[in-house]
Amino acid sequence: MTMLEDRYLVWQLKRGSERALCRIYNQYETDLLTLATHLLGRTDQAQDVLQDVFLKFIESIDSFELKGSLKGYLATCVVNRARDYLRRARGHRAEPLETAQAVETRHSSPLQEAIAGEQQQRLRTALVELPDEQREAVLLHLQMGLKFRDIAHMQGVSGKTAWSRYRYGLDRLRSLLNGQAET
Amino acid sequence: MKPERDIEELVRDLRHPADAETHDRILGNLLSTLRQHKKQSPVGQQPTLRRFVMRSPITKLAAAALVALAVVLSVPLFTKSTPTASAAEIFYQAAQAVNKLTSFHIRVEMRTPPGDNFATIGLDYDFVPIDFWKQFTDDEWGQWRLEEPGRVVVMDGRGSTMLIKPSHVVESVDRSPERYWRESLVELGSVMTREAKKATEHPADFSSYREQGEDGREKVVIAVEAQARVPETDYLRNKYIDDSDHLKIYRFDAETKMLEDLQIYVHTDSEEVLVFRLVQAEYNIDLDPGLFSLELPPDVIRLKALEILPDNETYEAMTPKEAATAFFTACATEDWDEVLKFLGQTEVAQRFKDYLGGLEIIEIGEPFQSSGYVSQGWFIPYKIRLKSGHVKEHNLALRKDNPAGRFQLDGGI
Repeated sequence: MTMLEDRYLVWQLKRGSERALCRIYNQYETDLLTLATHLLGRTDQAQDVLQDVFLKFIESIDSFELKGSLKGYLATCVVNRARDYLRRARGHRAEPLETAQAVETRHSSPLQEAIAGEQQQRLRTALVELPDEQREAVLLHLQMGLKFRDIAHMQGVSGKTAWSRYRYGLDRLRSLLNGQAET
Repeated sequence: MKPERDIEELVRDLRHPADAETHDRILGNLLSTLRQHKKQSPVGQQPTLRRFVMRSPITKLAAAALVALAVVLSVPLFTKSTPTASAAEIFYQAAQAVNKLTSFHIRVEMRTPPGDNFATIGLDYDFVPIDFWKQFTDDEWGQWRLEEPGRVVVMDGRGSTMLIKPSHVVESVDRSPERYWRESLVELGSVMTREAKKATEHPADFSSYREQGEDGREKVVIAVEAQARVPETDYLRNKYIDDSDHLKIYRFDAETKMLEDLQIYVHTDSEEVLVFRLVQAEYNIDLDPGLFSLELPPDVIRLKALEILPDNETYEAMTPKEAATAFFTACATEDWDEVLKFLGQTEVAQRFKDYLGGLEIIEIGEPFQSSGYVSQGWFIPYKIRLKSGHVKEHNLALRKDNPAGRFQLDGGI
């Protein structure tokens, strides 16, 4: 979705357009739910976060000002809300992604699906092992397509630090995945 | 060792779509909240306009309608340091900028039949290129050429000639009837003036904001929201841009006021369909004088007004359904003299004869009218089997607003 479309949809939503809300929600639902799910490691909480973020968005729409991409803004909201959940639930994190079977794969043959499914399960487990700020950097950059400058702003650090967190996160993931593969 | 790129791809591939129940539940809650929010905070109860406009482009968008109204009412809301102009002002300035041009060429693409009237749209049609070249002269009309793959109209400065290419049907008229491009959105001066008038009369439908272009120059974007002229159930709904709920997005260079982009989206219940887009705009360019002359094929068929027949009364008395039946019966029996009585042209094109000759009438339905069509125009549902065996089901358009006072074919074949 282009910036112009974002702006237009926000403008329509300010006027109370249900169609605009549906378009925005349908456009970003999967990306944001995926982000929340991997930040939290729990599908039920991820759904709550997604709903909370959109409810807040609607309630504040009259004074809302879009300064960048809508996707970036909503991703920031998801990260902030997920941090709240994590703070409250620290020490009580559930096993990673109990609903792994719901995950969509992009592979066609049964063998490919099986291999991919196993890889993805291991990846999800590895993601949960990452420090929060590294997991955020990896997910925001790779899944949401955010630039390190934007991630840095979100995390309150320099762009270099955001990039470093991303690199450390990837290294750690690789280490975890290779370690698991060797066992 | 798993390569880094593989891990990046793996993370990108992780998707977690909501199941249908979750999707419906959350979206239902959101819509319910929005409805509640609308009741508590009706549009218009906003903080001060000045703060809005000073702060960001998106708030300008929301406030622009009020700004436009204020400008029309000459309320000095803005200082020179906040050069926010109303949509009406911008369109007037754009019209003035067009008037100062020596020439321009516009290429647009529209979802339309390739040989139609430059105005019909279909949401499922492919995009068709339409070109408009205009050379300004001392004369009021200038010279211009409007062309799509199956039809061309040329105004040479004295009169205009239209050629429908496949049938070699030609219409020549004096001067420059606006009807050829009235709804085609390519005659920029006319478009800008018309939009300026609308923005003055209905400022709430217009919103504008400024943004930085990729070329580093400031741009003005104006969004125009328009309601269809016809009701939702009307036959002509979504068959013309003005007969659809649609959004036009104009983009001008803020300094020169020249149009750089225009997109038109038609709203349906489920989606916004892009039906029109500007793909090229060139200003003050050298145009080949040959563009403004049209060489006609030797075997042209000319359009003309219907003549009064010796037995005109018989045709005048026909109901729309009787006229449609008479027309199709004449095609079925290949009585082309009879067919000609419904056509208003010098002869029947061979292409027309090949297509409709020997048809079989399966059904003629009950005629109906559209509020978007002429008051003496009717649509008559029909189902015919062509000589090829193909069964065609459509609505014949007949209109009676001509000097002969009998029904004339106006489309639907």
